[in-house]
Order: sequence, then structure tokens, then C-alpha cells
Amino acid sequence: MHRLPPQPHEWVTRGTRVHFEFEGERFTALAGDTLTSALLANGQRLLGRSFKYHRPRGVLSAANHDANVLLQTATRLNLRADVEPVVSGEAYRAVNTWGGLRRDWGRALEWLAPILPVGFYYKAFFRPRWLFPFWERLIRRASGLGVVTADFPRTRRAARREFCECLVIGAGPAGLACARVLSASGIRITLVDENVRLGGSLTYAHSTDQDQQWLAQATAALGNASTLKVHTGAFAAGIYSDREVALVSAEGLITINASAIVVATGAIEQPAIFRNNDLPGVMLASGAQRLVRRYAVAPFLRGVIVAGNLDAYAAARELKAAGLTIEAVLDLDDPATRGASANELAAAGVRLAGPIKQLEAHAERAMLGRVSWTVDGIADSLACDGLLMSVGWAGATQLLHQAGARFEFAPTLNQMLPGELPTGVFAAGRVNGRYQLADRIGDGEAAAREVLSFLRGAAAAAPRPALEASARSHPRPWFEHARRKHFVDFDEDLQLHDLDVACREGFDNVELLKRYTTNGMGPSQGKHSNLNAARFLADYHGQTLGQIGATTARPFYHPVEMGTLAGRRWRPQCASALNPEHEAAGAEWMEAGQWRRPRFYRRGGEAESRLAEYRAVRERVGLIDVSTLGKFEVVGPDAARLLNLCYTGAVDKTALGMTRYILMCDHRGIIVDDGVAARLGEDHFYVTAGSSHAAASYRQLTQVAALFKLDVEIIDVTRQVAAINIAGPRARALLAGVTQQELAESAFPFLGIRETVLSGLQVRMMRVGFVGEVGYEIHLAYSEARQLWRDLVRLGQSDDLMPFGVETQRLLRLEKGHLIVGQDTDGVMHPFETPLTALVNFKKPQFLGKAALETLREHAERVLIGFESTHVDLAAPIEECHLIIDDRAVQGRVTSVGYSPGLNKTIGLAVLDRDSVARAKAFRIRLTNGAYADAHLVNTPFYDPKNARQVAA
Amino acid sequence: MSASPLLPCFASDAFRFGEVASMTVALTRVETSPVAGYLADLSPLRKQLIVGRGCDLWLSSNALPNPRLMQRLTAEGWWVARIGAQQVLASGDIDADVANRAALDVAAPPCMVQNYDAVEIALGDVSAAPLLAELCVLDLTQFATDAWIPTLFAGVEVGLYREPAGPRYRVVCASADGPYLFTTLGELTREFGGTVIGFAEYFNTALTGGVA
Repeated sequence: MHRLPPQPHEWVTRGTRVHFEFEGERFTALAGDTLTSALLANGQRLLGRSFKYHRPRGVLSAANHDANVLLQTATRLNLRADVEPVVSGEAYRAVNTWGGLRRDWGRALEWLAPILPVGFYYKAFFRPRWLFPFWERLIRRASGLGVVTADFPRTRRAARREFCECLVIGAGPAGLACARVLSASGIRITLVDENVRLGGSLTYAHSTDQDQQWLAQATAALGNASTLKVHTGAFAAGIYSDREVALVSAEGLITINASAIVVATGAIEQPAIFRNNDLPGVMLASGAQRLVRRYAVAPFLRGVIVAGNLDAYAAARELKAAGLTIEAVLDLDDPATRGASANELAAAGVRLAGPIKQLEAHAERAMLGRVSWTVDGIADSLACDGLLMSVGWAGATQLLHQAGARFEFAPTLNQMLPGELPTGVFAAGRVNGRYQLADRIGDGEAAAREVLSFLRGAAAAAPRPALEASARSHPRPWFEHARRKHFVDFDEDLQLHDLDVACREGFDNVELLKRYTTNGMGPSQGKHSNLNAARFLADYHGQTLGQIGATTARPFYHPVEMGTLAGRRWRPQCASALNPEHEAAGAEWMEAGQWRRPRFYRRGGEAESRLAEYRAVRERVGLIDVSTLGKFEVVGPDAARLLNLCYTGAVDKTALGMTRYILMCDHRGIIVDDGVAARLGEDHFYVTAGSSHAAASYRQLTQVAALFKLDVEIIDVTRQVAAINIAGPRARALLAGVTQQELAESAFPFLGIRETVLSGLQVRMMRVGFVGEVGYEIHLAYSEARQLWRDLVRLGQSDDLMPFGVETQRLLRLEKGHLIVGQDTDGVMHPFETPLTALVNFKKPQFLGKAALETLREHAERVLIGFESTHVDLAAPIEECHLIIDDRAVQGRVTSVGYSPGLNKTIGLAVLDRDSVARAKAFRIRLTNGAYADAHLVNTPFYDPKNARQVAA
Repeated sequence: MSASPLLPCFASDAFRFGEVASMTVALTRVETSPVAGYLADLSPLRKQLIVGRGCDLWLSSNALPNPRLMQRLTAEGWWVARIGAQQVLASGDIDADVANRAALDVAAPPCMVQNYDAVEIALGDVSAAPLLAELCVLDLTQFATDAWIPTLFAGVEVGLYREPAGPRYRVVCASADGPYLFTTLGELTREFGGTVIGFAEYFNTALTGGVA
């Protein structure tokens, strides 16, 4: 076991053991262990396989900054082992292995490395072309991480919103200091940190009593703040416009709206690049410190540190103090320049060497076994099982990039620092280039005062602590090697050689380099590779890092599960007041936009049911729910003018108490909607629109009203008013029994509208005829519709009244030749291609689409016509969208079709080229099975051509 | 007789139904108990929409307050919210409107007064805050109690206002949107420790701790 004695403020609970499986083997952990710490505590150093070459991998950062250790279970995928807590009884395995972690036969791919250089898919496998599908399938199988199965349980994650005045991201010294100042001022703050405890680097480095005392005091002070909310174990995945931040945790997604944001996300330690720098056992010094201090795990028995700064020496000192063996510090520079830090280690028996050249890690049984180097040309080596890299830092600036910050190169620090920040966004701590603990605290406090000045207009903020005079990051932490295997991007198995190839091939811009090499495009999004790649590019071209720049970080900071983004599923639906009546009557439902409508009512088989409905309407009386229609009250002195502008006809000429069929076109003259306008008063119209276009028509009306500054109010009552259509030879007689309204043709003519009382309820009745019989469309309050429907059904029993559904309605209106906008019209059809030309009134000075229609009326290339056919074959019917083909050329298509029981023939509407209509009245329709059906043109309406039944006395 | 648009959302065996202002509504649960958070159907509280240049005159003629845009004012059993430049939504004693409408001078600016069929929902107490955190993109706690707030809940257009005491809200939406919205709110209310209650229970101060 590699478990250390209890560490101060460790994160594990010694008294509680957790048992789990990894790759079929049983292990024991402590409560509070992550998967990484638990496996290392059990001496398991091989934790994963790399993406491309399936190289053995171990812990690197222990901070979720890398993707070396991705595990999965039977029900969860791509678990980030550095932060994933061990679940008792769970069985884990590594992703991306073929045949298990130890015997992964995918490692054979490494033998193919010479033919898999960077961008190999642009250069290989496409000749011979016939073989490419084979390579494509192979490459697709080999790529990806983890396996998704349909057995994964469906889970629902919460997605909620929170609000605060200031969001502080990062609870290290700078973030805590900032939050402490802000909370004392009464600002509503939210403090977030991706670790499960507050403190940041104070929880694994800076182990002096003084440092820990500060942490304890800062945390305690926050505990007393009533205006503070804290989220731990949650990371800020992205910053969006208006200072909206997505916060992700195991529970789900929180969208935080903040008036100000302080980004105190710290810095990410960077790796050195040398041969075999990816072996299990090679890790970041801060990673080792996290394992030791937080989880009391010794990640190695004999360690060596590769040093590029003073932080390496501090790490060595602290790890030794925790009881680990540090054999040597291999410095990229001369250790003599490190002053007291180096002397202290030397005095403690640690060997110091440098400036080192030709650094190389060596494997023993696929694990780190030895490290070698040269100093002044003299080779040396040491046996070790831990090689810790401490060569520099990159600010965790991703969120600042997303917020729109601009960065400037600080040569003394050898780091990009935030320069110009967006309004309301502030940076503090190591992300802002402050590394000394006192400076980080001071920077956080200064940021807090800037926030107070921004939010409250408080006194001008104190200056920020000065930047250090010496760099924390080595400018060139890499060692070339002829035999390569010196990895820049661990996610992508990208090597230094690959960067060199890309540069030589001309990809000399940091953005191009990224995309050609895939550097930074893996799960860790370049946290450990972007800076080194930019440095390499700068070095290659003899430029500075500032001149090369950096790529743009975009959300998400860490990968986010799709289920977290989904949250709850909102699927708004509109419900007709009559839905319970339809359900009770045996409705077979269909979706109609946000609504549900009865397709037909089941009274046996479908054909039998629909025939019964058809006969009811044609012979007696039927009832249909048309509540889905758009309905608008248009009120005001400019009501008529508005409708004249929006529709093609002279709506202002509509008489009081009458309706008019209206057509709406867009500015191109294309038909977009039809409806009815009813005049209820001099300045009051009631307008209906097609169900599928209601919202768009309402928008059009309001836009035109605003554009022309009209004195008119438009109220959308689509979802407040129900509508019922009653139609059939017995409709008038039935209604006469429940209303005082005179229904004779002379008193209530076709196309009239009356506001009256029906069955004791206030209604508007319109004499309209969509289905070709005497019909009344009754509009009334939603809450009263069910009462009316029941009354009509009860009264209609003696006439065998039958509710009818959408399918029957479609057939009935087809028999009358009425078109349905959106079905019989398409995205380019204008009125002059239809029988609706009379609805366009060019005498009006202005209306939507007039200019286009004046041109189009002379250039109608198609025509919507009626047709009949004797083809009646249930197995191979004529269907909508079947093509009309003549001499192997497409002449048109069917838009509506159906078998008419009353006419005993198939009838339909079709749009045809005008030339072919002029040439011949007969044509052929190609069916789904490839056969042809004969059809011929006829005039519409097919049924009751003189419209006698609609206006029957 | 009318029926609340939300009637289908109430299980017939768990609630007792009755009439309020000629509208059938769920009145009480069959088994009542104190509630920590609630959701109730208040749709029988009828509303009127007053539209046109004459709406200011109509309000003054009826001794009603005249709110500014997106403000809601109350007076003796009525509340009045201005939801558009010339659109006012009023809720209260509707019997008075017919006589007052006739009293307007024919030369007065035009004004249309219509009964406004809508759903009204009350929600509050322990389940309100977490429910709103999931549904609403606005920080409702920052709005004054005389604000009329148009927003979206679960994709549905609503208008709502805060009640003076506690995390309590009244939500108004179109009737056809009501069943979906109420079902969604009901699921969340129960999830967060609240209870769907009846119209009469909402006004039972002993049950809801002084809601009404």
C-alpha cells in the first residue's frame, strides 16, 4: 500500500472503507478518495491508455486538468478519475482499450507510428479510392473514447438559475480574499470552486502554519456571511454574454446571472517535453502534492524532480517533509542560481544537477524505472519510480478568453496576462500573474474593491500588487530526441516532432498549427499543451510568445455530459378545451404543431369510421373542433387600414356584420396564410388565421402596425377562444333550437357574422363554408366551450350528429376544391398560380407584396388544378407529393388527393407547369411502386359546383 | 356553466369540485392537511381586457387605478395591470363593468371591454423558489410587488406578479396553455415539497398560513 500517515486537513476519512473493482480486480479505498487516489494508494500505477497509440498512462495532474485517466462503468461513461469519488461496489474499467488495460492489443498501433504522422489522414489511405471505405470504417472504430450502449439508464439532471451581484470563480487565496472583502460589504456573492473544499493550492502546497491559519480564518469569515452562497465540486463551464455563467456539478447545471464576475481560477502547471514523458510515474509536481496532502497517498517510492523554477524546490521540500524520498532535482538551469532553496535541499541530501540536457525517461515493464540526463556532456541516470515536472505555469485564462478579454505578453513572467477586460469582469491571483501568496491575497482584495467601485460607485480601488521580477515559467522546457516519443499533447499523442513537421509544412500560425496537428483539441482542451506549442512555434520562427499569440478558448472548460445540458425537457403543448370530449368519443389523435387534434373518431376500423363521419356531414350534421385557428381582435381607428396593408383584398370594404375571405402574402408575393376577417364595428375586426401560421400572422400584423405607426391594438386570443364548426343539411335546424338568433338566409346570410347567445352562452357565429354544406363556425370563451359541445351533441342525437376529425374535414374541403395553405401551396407559390386571383386587389395603394405581385401576375409559370382519376387501389393509392411525369420529364406534383365516396372517384389538386396544362388535359401520376395512374383535369369544385348547398335556405 | 381550463389536471378521486362564479373548479382535496408549499387553480377569478385609447377614461369612470406600463395597482378587491400602451388587464368584481361601459359617452375615445378567458395560478412558500429557479430566467425577487412581469415559464408565455408576503406569486396565462403549464408546475411543486390544493383551500388562512 502507498497510504501515508494522516496528513493535516486531509480529504479522506480513515474510519470508512469503500470497496470497488477496477479492470476486474478488487480494491479498497477510503471515503473521500477519488478513483485516481484510491488506485494509487493500492499501488496501481497503470491507469489508462492513450488515444492514438494506446500507450500506458498514469496520473499526471491529479486535478482533472488532463484526460490520462478516463474510466467507465456499466452505466456511466468517461469518468474523470482525478475528481470522481469512488462509489462502493462499483466496477470500473479504462476506456479506449482493446482487450483490457494490461493486454490492450491496440498498443500495436505504435508500431505503425511512422505511417501515422500528424495529418496522416490528409496524406494517406485515399489511394486506391476503392479501399478508402475500408480504412474509414477502421479509423472510425479506432477513434472515440468510451462505448455508449442503449442500456444506460435515463437520468434527469436539474437545470436551474441563480442570481447574484458578484460571482467569484475560484476559491484559492485570491478568490477567498476577494469574497471575504465583498461579503463584508453586503454584496450578494456566489463563490464557486471545482474542488470539493475551499482553499485552492493552499490545500496541497503552502503547508506552513501561517498559511493554513490564514485559510482557516478566511473560510470561517465566509461562513458567517449571510449574503454568500458557495458551490464546491462545481466548475464554471463557460462565460456567456451579459455575464451569464454555466456552472456544472454532479447534480446538474446552474446558470448564474451576475452583475460582476471575478475570475480567480489560478494557474495550471505545465509539463516538460522529453522522451517518454508520458510514462506512468511521470507526473506534475503539483499532482504529487495533491495526492500527498489531500489523500495521504505516496505516488512514488523514489522521486526525482525536473525543475524549471523555484516552485520545484518548494515542492521538493514539502514532499520530503511529508515523508517521501526525493533523490534529485534536475534543473533546466544552473542550481546555483536558485539560492537558499537549492542550498536547503542539498543540505538535506538531495542531489542537484543542472543545467541538464537530453533528459529521458526509461521504462521498466511499461512503467517509469529510470531517468537519464546529461550535464556538460556527461551522462548520468537514476533509478526512480516518480519523475515530477515543475517547469512553469499557464494561467487558467479560458474563462477570461470566453468573456472577451484581451491578453498581453509579460516578458518578465514569460506568461500571457489579462490586459483589457470586458466591463464587469475582473481577474485576480495567479491567473492575473501574481504568484507569491501575499500577492495573491492582495490581488484578490484589490479586485474586490474594484468590484465595489463598479457595483456601488465606491471609492477608487487600491493598486494591484506589482508583478514579480523573475519568471515562474521556463521559456523552453523541451528536449529534442531523435527517437521521439516526446509528447506535447497527451490527449492526442502529439509529439514535438509533429509540431516540427507542421511548421515545416507551412502551418506557421497558432490557429493553423492547432487545427492541422489537433493540438489542444482533446478532452483537456490544451490545458497542458497550448502554451508549449505556442512556445515551440515562437522559437521556430524566432518570435516572442506575445507575437505568436494564443488560440481562442471556447466553452466548455471541462467536458460536460449531454444529459447535464439537456436538463428537464420542456415541450409546451396547447390543449383544446374539448380534448376530454374527444377522448371520451374515441378520438385517434394527431399532432398539429403544439396542439393535438382528432384525426378521426374510432367507431370500428379507420375506413369505416371516416366514411361514417363523411356521411354524417353530407347527409345530416357533423361537429368539428377548430379551436386551433389563429384568432385576433383588431381594434382601433386604423384597424381597417392595417388589414388592408397586410392582406391582398379590400378588407375595408367589408360590411358591418359580414366576413371576407382574406389572403396574406409576403413581400415577395408568396402566399403565406389565409383566413377570414369579420367586421364587428367601424373600428373593430375579428380575424382568423391558419392554425400553423397563427403566430407568424400575429407577428406580421404587429410589425406592420408599428412600422406605419398605426392607431390600432391587436390582441391574440388564439389560445383564449375556442371554436366549433357545425356543418350539414341539419345544422341550421339544430341551432335554431338553442338560439333566439334568426338563422334564415335573409337574416343571417352566407359569410355573415352575428354576436349572439347560443345555448345560454355568449358566442360569435360566422356563416362560413369550408366543407361545402350549410355551416356555422362558433367562437366562444375557452372555459364555456365544453358546455356548448355537450349541448350540441345532446341535441343532435335525434339527427345522429357525429363529431368528425381532420381527415374527414380534409376530404370534404377537397371535394369543394378549397386549398390548404402550406399543403396545396409551397414556398414559391403566388396567388396567380391558384384560383385565388380575385382576392388580389391592385386598386389598393399599398399592401404587402403588391410590387412583386404586379410582376408575377404576368409570369405565372405554374397552375394549381383539380383532377379526377379512376385509379382506386388501396394497396397502391395516389398520394400527396406523387409526381406527374410526361415523357420522362416532371410536369408537376399532387398536393391533395383522396377517394370521394360521394362521387365514387379519386379526386385531387395538383400543381402543374402551365405549358403542360395548355397542351393536354390528361396526364400520368407515378405511384410509389413505380406504376402509373391516369388522371385528367377537371374544374373545381368537384362537389356542388353551384354552391347551392352552402347557401341553402 | 363554464369549467376551469385546468379541470382535467385534477384527479377526480382526490379532489372535491364545485362552482365559483359559475365556473366548475377543484375546491378542496379529499384529504386535507397543512401544506408547506402550494399550487392552486384560481381561474374563476375572472378578468377583463380593456383595449383602446379610451381605456384610461374607462378606468377613471370605474374609480379604478391607472397603472403605468408593466405596473399593477390594486383598489378594493380589484387589481389592474397595464400590459400594453393601450391595453389594461383587470381582475375583480366583473358585474360592475356592463353598466359602466354603457355609461361612457359616445364621443369618448374608443374602448373595447371584453371578458378575458385566462388561467390564473397561485404558487408559493417552500416549493416556489426552487421551482422558479428551474423555470424562470428572471430574478423575480428583484421586482417590486406592484410590477407586472411578462416572461416565459417552461416555454409558455405568462404574466405574473409577486404577492407582498413571502415567496408567493400569481401567474396568468392563456387558457389553452394552462393544462400543460399547470401539469408541469404540479410536478415541480410536488418534487420540491409542495402540494396541489383546491381553490377554497387557497383562501383558507388556517391551511395556508394567511395566503389570501
